[in-house]
Amino acid sequence: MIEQTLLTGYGGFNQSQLPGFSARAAFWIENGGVFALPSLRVCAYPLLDMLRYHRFLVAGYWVPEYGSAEDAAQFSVLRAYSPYHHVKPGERYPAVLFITGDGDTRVAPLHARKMAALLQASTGSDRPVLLHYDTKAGHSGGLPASKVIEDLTNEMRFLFWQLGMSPG
Amino acid sequence: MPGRDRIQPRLTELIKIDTVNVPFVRGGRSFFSKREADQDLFVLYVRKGPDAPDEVLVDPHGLSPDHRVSVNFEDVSADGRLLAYGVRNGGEDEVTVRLMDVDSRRDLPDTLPRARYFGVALTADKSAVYYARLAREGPRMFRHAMGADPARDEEVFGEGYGPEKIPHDLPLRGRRGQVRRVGPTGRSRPQ
Repeated sequence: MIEQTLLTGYGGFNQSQLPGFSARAAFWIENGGVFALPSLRVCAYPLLDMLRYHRFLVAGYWVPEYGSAEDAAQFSVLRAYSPYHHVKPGERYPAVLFITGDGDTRVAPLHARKMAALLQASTGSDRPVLLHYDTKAGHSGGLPASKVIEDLTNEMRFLFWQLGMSPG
Repeated sequence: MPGRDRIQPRLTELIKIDTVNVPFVRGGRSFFSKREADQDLFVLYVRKGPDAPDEVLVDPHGLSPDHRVSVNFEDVSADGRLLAYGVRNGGEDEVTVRLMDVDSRRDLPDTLPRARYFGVALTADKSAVYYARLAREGPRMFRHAMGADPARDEEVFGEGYGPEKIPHDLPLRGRRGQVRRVGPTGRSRPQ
């Protein structure tokens, strides 16, 4: 039996994700999915170009956490995992949905925009690479409940569609 | 993408519920934010005694037609009579800080301009506001005297700190224990 697993997470700054009620997790589990949350980076409001991130918005404040490509030793470490620098032409990428918006004044939305463009241009598979973009959404939430429902509905439609699940 | 008609109703049931955030008490008054099941945004309330009714302080639903402007508590004075609240546009980190007289519900003329704040603290005598915010050169703490021009607020702490430091609720901690905490991590982190 194949189980559809939704793997989400957060990592960095010594912050762990604590258990709490999540409409996303509740809905997913009700529909037979498995929900897992390790502390890893995910792709809503993401930081993807680790070589140039420190040049945008307040990211200069995160150099003590991640390091800076302007330091030769740190460049090698950042280059080794920077997601944007590991996209390969012709690679058969799975379906991807990036989520960001102009209201993200913390992690510059350019990361998700250019990663979506690069993946669309590079992928050798027929799976979609999509960007959900909102001119007002950002890192601090501030979404009205009606918009939260609309966005989460679209996220779930994407997952159910690509994983061959039917909502019940 | 298929499935909207079967996904959206259940998510609506899960999300459209009455939600009340944990109250805090100042001067015997409880302050809290609440979003009722049929509302889009959190409304700021005060309850002036254990059995008193909930009174609306700030309702953001009228602030923008698409409900993308929201409000949050920044601080309330020790006697529960002066409120500092943030007004946020969309999901931005920056807020504009407004001050309100709790009993008359009137905003004071003092408004702190849109910025990335790390703690806003009203003094016990309500004569001044201490606040920290991020400037390009680093974190800085200021003192705003009521009625003065915020553009000319006095910088009281932070000189010499660069972007390698992020303040943690700096004025609030300063008020409670005269401890000013500045560390390498904080609320400007990518979450």
